[in-house]
Amino acid sequence: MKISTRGQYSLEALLCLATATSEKPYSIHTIAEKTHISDGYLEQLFIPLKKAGYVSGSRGVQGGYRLAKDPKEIVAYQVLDLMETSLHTIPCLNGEECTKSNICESKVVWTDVESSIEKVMRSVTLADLMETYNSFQGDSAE
Amino acid sequence: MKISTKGRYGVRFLIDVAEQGMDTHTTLSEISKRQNISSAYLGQIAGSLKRAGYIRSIKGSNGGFTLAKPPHEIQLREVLHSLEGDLTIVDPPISTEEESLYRRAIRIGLYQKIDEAVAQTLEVMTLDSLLRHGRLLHSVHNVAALRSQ
Repeated sequence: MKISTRGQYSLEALLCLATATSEKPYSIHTIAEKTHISDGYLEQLFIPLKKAGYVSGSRGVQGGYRLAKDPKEIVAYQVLDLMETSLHTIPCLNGEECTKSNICESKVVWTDVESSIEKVMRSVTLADLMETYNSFQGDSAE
Repeated sequence: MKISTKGRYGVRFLIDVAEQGMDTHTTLSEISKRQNISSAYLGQIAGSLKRAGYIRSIKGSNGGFTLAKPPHEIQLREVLHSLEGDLTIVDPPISTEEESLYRRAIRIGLYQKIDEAVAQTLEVMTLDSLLRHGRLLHSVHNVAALRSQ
C-alpha cells in the first residue's frame, strides 16, 4: 500500500511551483535543485501535468514552468489519480472479475481502507500543503 | 498502491479457519480447495500466521489448523502488520538522504493524515466483525438466490 515516487515527486514539483518566490517561471534546473529530483524525471512528470492543465510552460534550456491553476483547486486525489497507475489496493476493486465478489468476507477490509485513504486525498489541496510548507519558514533555513 | 497477496490471502486464511469453528482442525489442502489458493503458498502464509500467534497446528490424522485465540481478539491492524510489514502510504524517509522542505510538507500535510486514517479504520476491525459481516452477506446472497428461483 504505497504511493509511488512518481506520485510523490509530482506533488513535490507542484508544491515547488506553488511556493515560487520569483516572477519568472522556474527552469527545470531550478526545480531540480530545489526538489532534489533529476531534470530528466521532472521533464517526464511535466508532460502529463501540463496536459492536465496544472502547469504551463515549455521544455528545454530556455524553458520554464509555472503553476497554471489556483492551488485551492488542485486536489491531491486528482494529481495522484492522474500520475499513479492505480489507486486501488486490490485487483477486484480495480475492476478485475472475481466469482466470490458477492459473498467475499474480506472485501470490506479493503474497501474501507481504500475509502479512508481516498477521503483524506480528496480533502487535501495544494493550498493546504503550501500552508504546511510556509509554517516551516523560520524554523530552519533552506 | 497495493496490498500484496500475502496480506489478502492471510486474511482469507484466518476467516476460513475461523468459519470451521474453534474446536475443528482443518488441513492446508482443505483450505486450499475452499479458497482456491495453492497449498504451497498457503503453507508459507500459515507459517507467518503461526509465528505471529494467530493459529496453531496439530500433527496427525485429525490434525490441521485452528485459531490460537478467539476471533474478537484478532485485530486486523495487527494481522496486516505482521503479514505486510509497515502499512504506511509512502516509505519512511531514508536518514542519509536529505529531505526537501516540499517533501516534508507533503509528508506532514498528506501522508501522515492518510496513515492515521487507515490505522483508525483497521483498529475497529476484528476477525469477529468480519465473520459477522460475512454471515450477513451470505444470508443476503441466499435470500436473493431463493427469490430468483
